[in-house]
Amino acid sequence: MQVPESPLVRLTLALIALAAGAVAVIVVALLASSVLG
Amino acid sequence: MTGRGRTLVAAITIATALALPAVASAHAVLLHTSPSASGTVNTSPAQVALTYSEAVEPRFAVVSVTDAAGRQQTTGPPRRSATNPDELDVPLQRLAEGWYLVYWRAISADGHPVRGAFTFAVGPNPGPAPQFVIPSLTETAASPKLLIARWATFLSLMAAIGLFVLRMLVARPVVRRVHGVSLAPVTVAFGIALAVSLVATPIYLELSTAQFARRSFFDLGNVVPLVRDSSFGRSYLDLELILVLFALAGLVAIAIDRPGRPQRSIAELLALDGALVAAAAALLVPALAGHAAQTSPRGLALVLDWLHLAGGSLWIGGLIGLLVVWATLGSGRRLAGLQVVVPRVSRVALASVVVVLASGVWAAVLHLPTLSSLWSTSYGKALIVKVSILSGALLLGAANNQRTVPRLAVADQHPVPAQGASKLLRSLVSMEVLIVVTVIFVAGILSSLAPPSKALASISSSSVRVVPGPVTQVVNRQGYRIEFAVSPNRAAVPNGFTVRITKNGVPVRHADVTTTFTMLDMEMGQQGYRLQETAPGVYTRSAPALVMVGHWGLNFDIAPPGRPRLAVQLVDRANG
Repeated sequence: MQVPESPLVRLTLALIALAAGAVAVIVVALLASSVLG
Repeated sequence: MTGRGRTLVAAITIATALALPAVASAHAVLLHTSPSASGTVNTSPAQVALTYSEAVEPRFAVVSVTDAAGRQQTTGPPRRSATNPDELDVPLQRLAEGWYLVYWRAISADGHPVRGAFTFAVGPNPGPAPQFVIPSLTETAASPKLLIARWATFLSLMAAIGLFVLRMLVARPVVRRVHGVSLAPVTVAFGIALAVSLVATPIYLELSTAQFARRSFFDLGNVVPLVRDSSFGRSYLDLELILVLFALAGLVAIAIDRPGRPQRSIAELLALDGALVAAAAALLVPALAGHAAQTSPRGLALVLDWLHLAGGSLWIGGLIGLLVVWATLGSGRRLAGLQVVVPRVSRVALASVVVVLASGVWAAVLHLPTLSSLWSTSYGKALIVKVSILSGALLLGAANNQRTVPRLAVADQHPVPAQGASKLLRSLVSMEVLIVVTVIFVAGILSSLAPPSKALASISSSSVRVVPGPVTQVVNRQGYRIEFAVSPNRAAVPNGFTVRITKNGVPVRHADVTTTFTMLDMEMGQQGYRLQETAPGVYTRSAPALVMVGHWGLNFDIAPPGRPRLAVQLVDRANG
């Protein structure tokens, strides 16, 4: 997969990936709070 | 981070995990019934009310009320009580005088079916209790279809995460150190595992929900709307969402990765962190949806389950990745590539195996109430099979470390033995992959079985075992001759319990005799009854105590006047 070398594009993609990780943590935290009560 | 900082973070993490609520409800337990079990009501009840230890979903519950001829008496499906969320109500038609059998089945929070049966009578003259036939009690969460779907879900999830770690952290330096090597085949393998995982998870969820609701897998119109109605279903829907997020973060991390450069950029590090965090979140979901979230102490059980899955993921992903690297390097670069990758994969695999073993043993200690439950329960037997197969993989791993890794390390000086070691490596790793894949299947069986009841810990070597059917058992303790009788010793009907106590042939009068009934096959509340002296030295009680088929611990506590107490435990098996 070829990604442009532009630092701005790469940083934007990285922030999207980081946001995806953060949302995953929020989802699992909500699930844990509902399961563990 | 400094060493002290790491220690502090680890201490805070462990303390937080252990501070989670320690009380776990295990499986749904029937706490109260109306009409009461084996009781007699004088007028026809409008409904049967069942109160559980947790809010069970009415759409996954089955409650049948049948008369002595097996005719159904309900007029509608179970519904949740308007006043108590833990209560299920089943409407009844007008009942004639006589005895009725209530059979119930519900789905616990961890997806396991639980069931039971009891009788009640409508009076004032219901007559003697008939011999009811209890409906089939063989339903299990370990059906072949579910097991295969569970295996595909776990294997693909673990392989995807392990392959991602291999691609981004373990095998990455090979690109810089060996000219012309690409990790694209590992990326493709990661993509395939992820795609399988994204498909297998909803299929497994649909299959499970269809079984809970006793519908066909293909009845999508009715099953799909029910998916969010179980705690298990909500968990696996969240897993699917987290997998999509992991796929997004993981593919971005790989796309912007430049393994040829000696240092990662900030963007590469951020993307990698996002993907690793999403992977870590995904690995916590099976723990939250399974036994770990129902086992005390829950914080510790969840951490152990997560470590077990994480270690297993790195292991299986590393092994599959190693095979992919071996097959795609090409003979010209194979030795040089393996020289870089194999020692790194071996170190990670060794650490993973240590984590898998340590967390597995600790979790087994939490799940198994006694050592003997290891060989006396289905759960324990599945655990033995899993560990036995796992030891085969450990032997292969050890052979790899001893035979192939040292020879590959000196491939520059001794290329001929290194060629042989490379071929041996492929064979050993292929076998190890097969074994670990089998272990994951057995782990799927293990997580489908209910862990042994904690009540098994109450059974001691001095317990007396009796068989189904009417029982007469004599026990001699401290100079007393104690004769126990249980009749008819069948589940779901009133049973007569008689204790005849003599000392030196003389009846022991005015003793305080109580009996506690404990279900040994699953978590249930205890019931206790006091026996009345109906003749000199003879204490009796008719009680609806054996409310379901299975093994029961009958604990008789006998206090002769002015003498020390005696405790005798009968381990009984009640059939329907």
